[in-house]
Amino acid sequence: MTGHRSIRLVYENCTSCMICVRECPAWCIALSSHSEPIPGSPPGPRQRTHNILDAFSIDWSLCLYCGICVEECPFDALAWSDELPAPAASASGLVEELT
Amino acid sequence: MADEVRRVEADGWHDAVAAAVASGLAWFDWLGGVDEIGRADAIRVTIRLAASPDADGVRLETLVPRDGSALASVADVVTGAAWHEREVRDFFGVGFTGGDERPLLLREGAVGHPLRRDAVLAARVVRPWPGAKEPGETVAAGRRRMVPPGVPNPDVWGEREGDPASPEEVAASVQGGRVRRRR
Ligand code: SF4
Ligand code: SF4
Repeated sequence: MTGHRSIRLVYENCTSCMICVRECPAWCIALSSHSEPIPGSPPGPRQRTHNILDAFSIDWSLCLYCGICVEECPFDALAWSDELPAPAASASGLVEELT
Repeated sequence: MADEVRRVEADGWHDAVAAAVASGLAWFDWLGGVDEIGRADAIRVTIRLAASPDADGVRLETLVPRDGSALASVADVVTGAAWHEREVRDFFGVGFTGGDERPLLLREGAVGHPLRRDAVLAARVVRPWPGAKEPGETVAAGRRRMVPPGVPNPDVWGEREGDPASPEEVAASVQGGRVRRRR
């Protein structure tokens, strides 16, 4: 059984859909993404694009460990992890960039 | 298994609870409040009683006007309800006459009642919401504004001119989602 000590990101699965960011009651997830044309798709005004995740962070000083983000992610890109977040000397040091 | 629900008038609250306890519903489960704004200008107070922890329960409910009215405390017949009454007073601003007047969860002198639906989470108005961005956006674009739950539409709170918004308007606008400009 997996422990509930932190949350990890499965980078390949994340579509930057923003659902976890919006559902988090503590506002502790932040992500940044941009969209790029899908390689090989026909160019032009209707070229198909996809989102590329640039940065994803969780602020462990605010996280409630409620698991809502894990539940809500439609792409199984967030999962409970056994690893404790790294300790820090100040609250701002508890913001972890997940990769 | 379903609870029986008994709706009682606010001034008959204490007697109805005392009668239910006397009829054998002596096990107290919980007492709580619900803000009924949008349906009634009142806070609904509910107590759940049962004959035993496993038995079907009875919920007694009453509506208390939002404007600072009080219910008679039932702590004399249901001792455990005293804490719950203090919590309902803290969170919903319903008074309980004859009950314990001390705040339970809010600090002494706290302003407002945070579980009323028109309570504005002011810290959330000033702090940028990480969910305001759309997928694929590096910074939130201004054209389609998203507001988080708990933050009212800026037309209603903050950037508004004229009379302050009524509690109904504030409550209706704090549910999150896209901001629709009202004419
Ligand atoms: S566990 Fe809860 S508080 Fe923590 S990041 Fe997920 S949704 Fe936010
Ligand atoms: S809900 Fe899942 S897929 Fe969507 S942004 Fe969050 S982690 Fe990525």
